[in-house]
Amino acid sequence: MSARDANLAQICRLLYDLRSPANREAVGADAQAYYCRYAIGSRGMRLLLDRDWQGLVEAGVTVYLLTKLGAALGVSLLEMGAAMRGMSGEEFRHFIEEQNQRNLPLALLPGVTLPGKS
Amino acid sequence: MAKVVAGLGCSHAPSIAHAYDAGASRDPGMTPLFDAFAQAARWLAEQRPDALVVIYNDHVDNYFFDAWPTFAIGIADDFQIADEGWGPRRFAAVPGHRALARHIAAQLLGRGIDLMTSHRMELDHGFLSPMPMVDEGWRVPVVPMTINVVLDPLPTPARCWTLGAAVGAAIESYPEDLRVAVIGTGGLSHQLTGPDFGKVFAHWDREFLTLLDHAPQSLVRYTMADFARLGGEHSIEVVQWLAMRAALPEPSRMEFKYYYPFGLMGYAVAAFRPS
Repeated sequence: MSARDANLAQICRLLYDLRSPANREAVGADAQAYYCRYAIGSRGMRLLLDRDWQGLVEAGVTVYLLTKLGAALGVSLLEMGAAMRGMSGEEFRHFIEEQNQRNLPLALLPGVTLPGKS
Repeated sequence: MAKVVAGLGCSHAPSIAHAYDAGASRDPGMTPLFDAFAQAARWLAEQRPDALVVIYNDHVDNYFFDAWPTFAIGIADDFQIADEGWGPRRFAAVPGHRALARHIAAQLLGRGIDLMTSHRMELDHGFLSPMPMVDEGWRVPVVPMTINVVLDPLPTPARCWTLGAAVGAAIESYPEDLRVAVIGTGGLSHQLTGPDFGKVFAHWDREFLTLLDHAPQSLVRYTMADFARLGGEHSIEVVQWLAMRAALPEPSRMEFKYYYPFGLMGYAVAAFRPS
């Protein structure tokens, strides 16, 4: 295993361990101190401290682990998504709203009343 | 002998769980989906299932990368609720159908499908987002099964179909007169990384549902990479729908389908029954 792979495995472990409330408390209180418990390398530390979600994905971390850190730090999936797209929260909401309107004609909802329609 | 009497495909996005826990009426955008699930729940109850085989995927909540199963089955009297990072959702442990699970595992292993058996398994949103919507209160015992769609290398969609077909055959060789419904969760389109984060591929989702209705086996010619290209990286969970459909006896047909492209997801709920 390369050092980079080993660091990735430790980043994943660090995130997986956030299933425990005690670890969520620890990362919330002092993120860097929590990250220091794991041999994640200087690059891994930088990605985590910068909350570089897309960088973490490109390093090989699945989004399903990132959401555990998001839960502990109070960062929603929508906020992560906006950052990954390089958008502000407002720009991302606008994109989603516009996409909803564009796709709604493709919905199949027999017997279901859509909100705001009679 | 046992029979596969129904199949259900449905999305399992955490947004469904969040809306359920907060009270769906507070989230008007989600009410069309909740209405669809309510109709699916009524339909499922009408099929009078004695057991539910639920094919989903774990999201690094029960398994970790030190031992990551391609296919797995839970064999236990009950299954605990996973803590995915927000604390476990407030549900009782889900009752399992241990005897049926053990039978399916033995039959699959006998047919050369070497799945992992898990005798202590926690259920994450792949199972728990939709299941309270279709069997609130855990009236029917379950057999949870997982497919790896998270950690490369992945199984092929064709192999997921083979798995589902073997599950169907295994159920039908169970000596007790059980009525079994098979549920496949996940999808449809979503992309949760990169510059296309949040993109919904509604035209492909509609085509997928049409293919699943009229030519389900044509879907085994797709690769995981095809599904990722057509419906977004995280839409490959649709292989769980393929496994569900393959578990039904032939001929079977789609009874109804709902599709709701909204927010980050192409949500869908569809029901199948032997014809």
